[in-house]
Amino acid sequence: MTARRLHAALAAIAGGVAVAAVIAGAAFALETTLAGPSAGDRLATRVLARLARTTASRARVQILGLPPLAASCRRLGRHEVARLGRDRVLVVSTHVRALSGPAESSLARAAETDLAACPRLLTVELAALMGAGPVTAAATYWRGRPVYALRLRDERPLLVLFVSRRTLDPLGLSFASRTIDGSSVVLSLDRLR
Amino acid sequence: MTGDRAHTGKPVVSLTEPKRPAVETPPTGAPARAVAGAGRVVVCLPTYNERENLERMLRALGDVLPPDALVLVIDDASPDGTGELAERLAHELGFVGVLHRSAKDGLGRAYVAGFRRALELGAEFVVQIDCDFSHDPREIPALLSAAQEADLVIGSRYTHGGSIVCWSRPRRAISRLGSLYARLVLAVPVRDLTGGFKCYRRAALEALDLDRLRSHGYSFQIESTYLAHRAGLRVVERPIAFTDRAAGTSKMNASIALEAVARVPALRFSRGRAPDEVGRRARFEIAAWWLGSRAVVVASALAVQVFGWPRPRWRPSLIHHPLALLGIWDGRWYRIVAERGYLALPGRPSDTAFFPAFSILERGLAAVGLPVVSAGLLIANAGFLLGLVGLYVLGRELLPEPDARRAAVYAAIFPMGFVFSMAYPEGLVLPAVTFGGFFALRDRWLACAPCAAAAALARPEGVFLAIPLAAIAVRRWPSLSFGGRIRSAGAVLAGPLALAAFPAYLWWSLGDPLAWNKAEHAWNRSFSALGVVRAAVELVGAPTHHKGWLFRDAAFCLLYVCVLLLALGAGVPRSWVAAGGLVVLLPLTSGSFTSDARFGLLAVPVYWGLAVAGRRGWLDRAVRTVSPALLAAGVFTLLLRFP
Repeated sequence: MTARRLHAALAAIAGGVAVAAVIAGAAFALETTLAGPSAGDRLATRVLARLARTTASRARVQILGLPPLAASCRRLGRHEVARLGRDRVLVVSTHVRALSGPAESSLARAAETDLAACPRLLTVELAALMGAGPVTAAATYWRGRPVYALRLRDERPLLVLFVSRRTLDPLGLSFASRTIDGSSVVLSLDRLR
Repeated sequence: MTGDRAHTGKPVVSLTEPKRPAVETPPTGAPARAVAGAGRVVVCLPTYNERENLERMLRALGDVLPPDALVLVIDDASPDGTGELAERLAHELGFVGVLHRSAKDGLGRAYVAGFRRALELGAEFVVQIDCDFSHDPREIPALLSAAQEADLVIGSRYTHGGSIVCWSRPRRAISRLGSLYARLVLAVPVRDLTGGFKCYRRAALEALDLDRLRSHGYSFQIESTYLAHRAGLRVVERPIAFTDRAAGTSKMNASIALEAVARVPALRFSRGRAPDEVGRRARFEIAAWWLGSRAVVVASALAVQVFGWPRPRWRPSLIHHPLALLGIWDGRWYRIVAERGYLALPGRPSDTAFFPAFSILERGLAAVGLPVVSAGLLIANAGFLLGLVGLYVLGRELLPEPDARRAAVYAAIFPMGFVFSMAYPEGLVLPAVTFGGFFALRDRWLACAPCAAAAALARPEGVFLAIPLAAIAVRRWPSLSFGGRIRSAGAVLAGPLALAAFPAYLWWSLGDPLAWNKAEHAWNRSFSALGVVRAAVELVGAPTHHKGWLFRDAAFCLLYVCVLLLALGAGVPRSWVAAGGLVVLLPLTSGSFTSDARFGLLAVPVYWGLAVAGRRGWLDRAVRTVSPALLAAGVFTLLLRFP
C-alpha cells in the first residue's frame, strides 16, 4: 500500500469515527430525556453505599414507657445477629427469629430490632424504599446536629433514619406506631476498610 | 454452424451456435450466490457498423474470458458487413455466437434480444459491453468477481477510482449532468446511471422481466438499472476507466438524447408500483404469520390471566391491567426506567443492568398519553413485525428467496418468540439488526448507522452487528468512494460508540460509569473465562438444586449452535454466523445457561439455519405445526419462570 493510499484510508476511518461520534452523541442526548434520580434518591444511594460497608453497630434504644436498652448488631453470613439487652435475635432480611429470650414476636420486639440500627436491615429497608418510588429526604436538625431525615416507611409504623449531613453516617432512628413510640442513638459503627 | 438472416419486418431472430458445448444449468435449489466462474458467462456485444473494431474486440474478449464463456454478437444488419465478419469470426474463434436482427432497432432492443438468448443458453452471468473499446475488456474479470456479491454490477466512471480518458470538458460535463439528472429524478443511489458496461446475474435478468424494458436508445441503460433497483436487486458500482472509441463513429444523435431526457421522468411516474411481486407476496405471507402467532400469544396470555392458571392467586384485573402477563419480569424494570430513570443501588440488583433504548421509546409514547405498559407492548409487537420483514429482505440478500421467506415465518412462530410480544427490547433489536445489515449490503451506510446504534443501545448483543458490517465494509472498501468509506466506517463504529454512550450517560447521571457492570454482577452475571465451565457444572447439578428450567435454556443453546452450523454450510457469510455465535455463547461466560434461550432469539443466522433445515418438506410441515403449540406453552409457563 502506498503512503498516499494509507493516508486516504486513515482519513476515511477518521471521518468514520467522527460520523459515529455524532451518532453516539445523539444517543447520549436521547438518554438524557430519561428522568434523572431525585436529590433524595441520590442521597439514599450514598447512604446505601455507606451502610453496605458497615459490618456492626451499637446503639442505645429508648422506647417510651420501657427502660433504655443497649443494642448491638453484627453480620453473620448473609444475615445479622442483634443483641437486644439480654436477648439475641437473628435478622433474616426483614424477619426476626429469636435465638434466646421470649420466642414469640411482638411489635415491641420489632421496634427494638428496627431501632437497633442493624446495617443490613437498614439496607434492605432503604433499598425497598428506593425501589418503590422516589425517596424524600429532609434536611433538618436532630438533637442539635444537622442531619438528613430519610423516612424508611411511608405507612405506620413509621421509621425515620437520621444521617449526618457531613459524613452520611447513621446517627439515630425514630419509630412510631399507634401504641409504641421510640428512638435510638447510634453509638458506634464498624466498617470494612 | 450457419447463421441465417431473417428479412421480415420484425427484428430478431437466429443465432449461430457456438462450437463449444454449453455448460449445464445449475440444479434447482442451488444457492443463489454461486461463485463467479461456477456459472456460464455470456457477453452481449451489440454492433452496428463496427467492422473496424469487431475482430480486435472479440480477440481481446477471448483473452480475458473463462474457457466456457460465450460472446454473443448482436448485429442490427450493419450495412458495412459487420454481421458477415461476425459469422466468419464465429467459425474461426469458436466462442462466438451471432444474433442477426433484420433492421436497426436501437441499442435497447438489441440488448433485450441478446439477454433473452443468453438466458436460453443457460448463462449465469451476462455481461454487456460496447464494441468500440470505450470499455476495456480486461475489466470484465473484476465485474464478474463483484457479481459474486451483487445482482447487477455497473462499471462506473463516476464512482471513486473511475475515470474518463480523452473526453473534452464540455462532453464530460454533459455526461455527468445526464447521470445526475437521472439520479435525482429517479432517486437511485447509483452514480453512473448512463453507464453501459454491466454484469447481470441470471436471477437479476429474470427478475427484471425483459418485456417491461421499453427504451430503444441509450436510455435503456438508465431504465434497466432503475428497474433493477426498484425490483430490490443489489446494484453495485465498480470503478472503470472509460476511453473514447478507438475507431468508427458514435451512434448518438439528437433523437436518442431526447428519448433519454424524456424517458427519465416517464420512468419515474409510470412505475408507481414496485415490480417485486415475489417480495410483495412474501411480505403478505409474513404479516399473516405474524398476526397468527401474535394472536396465539395474546390469547394464551389472556387465558392465564382469566383462569389463574398455573398460579391461581395471580389474577390481575383485565380492565385495569390488560395483558399484564406480557409486562412482567424484565418488563417491569424497563417500565421503572421509563417512568423514573436510572437508580443504582450499591450491591443490589438494580435497573442500570437494562439498556435504555426501549425505555426511551416507552417514555416517548407515554408522553403522548399512552400508558407505559401499553407503549412497551406496542413497540415490541410492531417492532417484531418490522423485524420479520427485515429478516426477510436481509435473507434475500444472502440466501435463495424461499429460504429467506421460510426464515421469517419460522421466526414468527419460534417457540421462545413470545418474548417478542413482551415489554422487552428484543422486538426493537431484531428490526435494527436486520435492517442495519440490509442497508449495509445495499451500500446505504447512513441508514445503516442509526440502526446499528439503536441495536447496541437496546441490548448489549446489538453491538455484534458491527462484525458483519465490518466484513461488508472491508469487502467493499476498494470500490467505495472516499465519502462512501467515511460512511461505512461510521456505520461500523456507530454500534460500539452508541454502546459507550450508555456508561457515559450513567457517569453523567449517577456519577458511576460502571453502574451497568455492578448491576450485572448483582444480578449474578459476572463474566469470566471459566464461566462456561461453571455453566456446565451448574447444569449438571440442576436437578438437585431445583433448577430444572436450565435444561430448557441449554436445549435451546444446543439447537442454536446446530442451526448456526447449518447456516454456515448453506453459504451464510461467516461474519453473520460469528456474530450469531457470540450472541448465543458469550452469555455462558457468566457461569450459567440462564436465559440463553431468550438471548439466542437475536442471533439472526439461527433463523436462516432453521430455514435451510426446513427445505425438507416434512420438517417444514412439522415446524409449522408444532411451533405454534410450543409458543402457547411458553406463554402458559411464563409465570413459573422468567424467559
